[in-house]
Formats: sequence, structure tokens, C-alpha cells
Amino acid sequence: MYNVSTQKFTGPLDLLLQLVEKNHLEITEISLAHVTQDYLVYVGSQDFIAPEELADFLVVAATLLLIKSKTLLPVMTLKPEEEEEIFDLENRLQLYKKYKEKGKEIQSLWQKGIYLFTRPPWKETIIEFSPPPHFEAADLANFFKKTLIGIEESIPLEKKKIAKIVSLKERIQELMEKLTQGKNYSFEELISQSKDKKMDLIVTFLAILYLVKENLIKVKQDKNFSSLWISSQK
Amino acid sequence: MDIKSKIESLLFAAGEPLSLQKLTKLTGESETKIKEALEILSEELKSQARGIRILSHNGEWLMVTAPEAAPLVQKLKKEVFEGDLTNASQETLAIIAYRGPVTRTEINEIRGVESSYTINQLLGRGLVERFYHPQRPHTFLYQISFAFLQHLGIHSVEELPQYGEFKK
Repeated sequence: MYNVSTQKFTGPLDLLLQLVEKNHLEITEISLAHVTQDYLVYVGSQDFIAPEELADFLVVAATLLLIKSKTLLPVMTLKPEEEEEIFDLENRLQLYKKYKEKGKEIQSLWQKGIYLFTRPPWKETIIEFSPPPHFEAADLANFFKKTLIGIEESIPLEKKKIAKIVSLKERIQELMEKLTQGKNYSFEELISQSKDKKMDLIVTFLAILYLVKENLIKVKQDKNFSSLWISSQK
Repeated sequence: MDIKSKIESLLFAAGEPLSLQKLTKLTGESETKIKEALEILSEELKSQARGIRILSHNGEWLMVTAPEAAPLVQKLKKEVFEGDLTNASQETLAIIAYRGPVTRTEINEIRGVESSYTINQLLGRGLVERFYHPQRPHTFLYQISFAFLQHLGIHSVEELPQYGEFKK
């Protein structure tokens, strides 16, 4: 985990592209998995991402996590729509990159300052209020209606309550606190007794995978399908 | 007077974009003849390195000063030049220029982020323009404007780098 430059980005795809390019990588599934951690750190530490933009950042984060899990757990099979989501993100990033580059070329043309002047239109043109003959209040109302039609509809966001679940980071900390006391635990013992047992199971399992990868804990299993025994590496 | 010269006079006098329909109406010539004359005139102005040029955009034509003359004319006319384009503006302009006419939704999708604010700024600066989507109510299509071409010093959007490749 290293520091991400504080260079500005224009959105989630821009941030992602900058991370990939900073590592001198091509846009592939592997490179996306590689920068997932950085992306999450960055999004997690950005208090200034506007709330209305946060959702866009999280959508990308979710797909990145999917890619990351796929690389960490090669046996995991993804649903077709999940595969498509990954493929989509790669394509979108490629497309975004193309337009970003073209934007830079537009900028360099702009900076040359070659402006093509026109003659000012007829001097005699005087702007004045000249309503058509027999103009009435009803006509005004009609024009106003027309103007209203012209206003673009913005699609209202669906309101949904998000249930608080324990985050992976929190679970990793909890596990470390428990395990550093030197006692062995079975996997079942480590799962807390929360309402959402399935979610808790997943988070705890991911936390254990992370800690094993970081060489902080040991996991032992005597035979297939028997209990996992977890202890601190120290 | 030949059609070419007639068009030249009209574009000079107008000082604003003229459409094919308007030129047809004013000269009484057919659309094909006018288009042909416009092309020849436009090419001549370029190849003879004359002091004026013709820009074309969205079925309209506008007479402007030559790109090479920009520094000179600037001494005469002190246009106020706005500052740089922000990164968001650059991206959004690129999408509108290379992909236009496009809807706001399409722009949002490509950039991965809500772009209304940037689009409105570009509209305000006159660099893009919009018109109603012929099939979808409450929807606009966005495209670049003559001002965009004027600021970039190009005769038409086709002169943007690799424009042809993008359109494929």
C-alpha cells in the first residue's frame, strides 16, 4: 500500500486510469486487480468526493472488488453477468482513455490561441421587445410551457436504506486483537453473533484470507471439512 | 456575377453563419450548385493563402479570418480570451466533438460521472450547442458550435486529429 498522488481526477474512471498508468500497466483484468487496493484507499480517504458522485465511485469499486476476488480465488466461478461487468469496466476504461487523450489534443489546439475572427453581424440590429400582433397572456403561458418542456428531466435516485454491516477493515482489527492474546480459535468461534450471519461469515473469511496473506496468522485444518483453527503467527 | 462570388459577398456581409436554405433562397440557385461553389471557394481561399476562410458546421457556413492572421487581427480586435479548459471540460468537449450529437446520458456514461455542470458551463461559454432530440421528449442532443471551431482554429470538426478513425 503506498501513497496515491493528490493529483486531481474528474471521476472514478479518471482515478482508475491514473492509477493504472502510474503503474505503467495496460488496461487488463490483472492490472485492474493490481490497483484495486489503491483505488479503495483513495476513495476511502477522500472526504471531498461530493455525495452525489460517491455512488459512481462505489459502483466502480464494487466491480474492482469482484475482479480482485477472482484473482485471489481462482476457483471462484462468476455468473455470466458478473463476467460481463468486468468486461464492461475494461471497455469503458479503454473508451474513456481515448476521449481523455483527445481532450488533451483539443486543449493543445486551444492553447495555441489561434482564434478565427468574424465580422460583427449587422450593426443595424437593435434588440428590442417586439411581440407578434395580437399577443396575449395565453400566448405567454404557452411559451412558458414550451420552455418547461425544454428542461431536461433528471432521473431521481432510488432511495434505499443501507444496513450497517461490519466492514472488512473493522473485522481485521477485531481478529488481530483477539488472536494476539495467544489463544487458538476455531473459525466458528470467530464469527460474531450478529443478525446477518451470512454476511458476517463472508467478511470474517475474507479477513482471515487477508491476514494469512500478510503472514500475520496461521490457519490449520486437520482434514477436509473439519474446523479451521486460527492462531497468531507470533 | 458567378455563384461563388455571390456566396462570398453574402457570407462577408452576414458576419454570422448562413444555412444552405438561406443561401438558396437569396441567390435563387440550386442546393447542389451552392454546395459545389462553397467547396471550390473554400478550397481556393486555403490554397491561395488568402486572408479569409470559410468554416462549415452542421449545414451552415461562416466567414472568418485566416488562422495565420490570428496574431495580426488580435492587435486590431482585442477579444477577451478565456482561460484554459479544465480537465472535465476537455473530456466533455472531446466526447461532444468526436461523438456528437450526443445525449447527456451518453456523456455521463463515458465519463463515469454526472456531467451536467460541465455541460452547462460549456453551453454558457458558447462552445457547445444543443437541440431537441427528434424522437425523445425532454432530451437534448449536444454538439460543438462555430465558436469551438473558431477557438481551435479549424475549418470543420473533421479537421480534429484522427476524427475519421473515431467516426468508424
